[in-house]
Amino acid sequence: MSLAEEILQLEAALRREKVCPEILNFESELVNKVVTAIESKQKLINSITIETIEQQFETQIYQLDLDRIKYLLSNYLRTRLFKIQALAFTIVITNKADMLSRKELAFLEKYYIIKTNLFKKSFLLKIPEEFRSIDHEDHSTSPDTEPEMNKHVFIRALDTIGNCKLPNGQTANINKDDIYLLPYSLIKPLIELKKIDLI
Amino acid sequence: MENEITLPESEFFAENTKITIIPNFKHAGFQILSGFYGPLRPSVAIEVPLWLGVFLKRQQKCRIIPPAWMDLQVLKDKFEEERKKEEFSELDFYYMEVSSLLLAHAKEDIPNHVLICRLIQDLQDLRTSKIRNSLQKITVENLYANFKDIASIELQAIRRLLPATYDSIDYMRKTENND
Repeated sequence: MSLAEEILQLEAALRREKVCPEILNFESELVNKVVTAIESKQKLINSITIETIEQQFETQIYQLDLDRIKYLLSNYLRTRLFKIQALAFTIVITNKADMLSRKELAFLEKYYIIKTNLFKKSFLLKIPEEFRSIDHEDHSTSPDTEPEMNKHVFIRALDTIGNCKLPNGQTANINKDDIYLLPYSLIKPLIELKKIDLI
Repeated sequence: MENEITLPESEFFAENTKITIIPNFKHAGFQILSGFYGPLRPSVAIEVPLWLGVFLKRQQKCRIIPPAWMDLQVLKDKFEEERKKEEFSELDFYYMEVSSLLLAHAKEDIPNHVLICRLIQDLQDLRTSKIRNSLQKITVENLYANFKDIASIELQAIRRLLPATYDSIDYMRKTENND
């Protein structure tokens, strides 16, 4: 895959992550490649000594492109951090930690400890012991608003999907390029098969 | 930060759309991260990302060729088609973002830009009212409609409201069934 394609993929990953209610797999390969490319290009730009107007003009274009890719990358990482904070307890309870990068995991661990301590100090120690546990195995007490798996999301079919049974009893014949607003839980397997995209 | 695609973000995505420019300078080409663009020769058309085209335009280093759909007659036909059809007619997903960027930075390169600007606005109004009308027809039995060819700008307009409404309808249907 060329770098240009990887950048496009990262863009698609950002859009998916923005729309999807649960945390998705960290795109480690894409991120690593893009980070390496950004670093070497930035070094190159910094090493240019600007002598002519021509060089200044070129450097401006390189920097502009670089800034766009940096923004894309940081937006992707920040979107995930935002979700990790919102879903911290759920990720821990449901054992989703392998979806995160090493750095994200370190962030989650710290965040989890800080939040648990805060809860303990502010009210948990003041209530009877049997109600204190934060991470019951049956998920019933996760303090997050858990990812609502039935939340509706806009999807675009990348391929012909055919007849799809919908929760209200309706059947939809979904063809390529069709756009529907459907419950996330229903279409989740199709995302993994790359048959649809979240938009 | 909101966990949803915002208008500035969809403008950012739209800026990667390829457009044709006619440079007025000579250059071997630019090897940028998102691809190689060149060689550039005066009066020879070349495709570049929209953001690069706008940058060069602002430096007065090129003329922008508007996309084929940004033409008075094409838009008039599109408007007629849109009015007759019940579904959306086919349009660039980022038509609003692309056209407003071009109208802001390169209007002298767009023939009839005043009329085109008006037509695009009218087209958007028409499409938005189409959404509003179709929403009035929604029933629980006939909830899931095909939004094929909806554009980014119209999606933004309903993104806040519609998914949440559907969530509630779903929730009510489930509780009803449990009774």
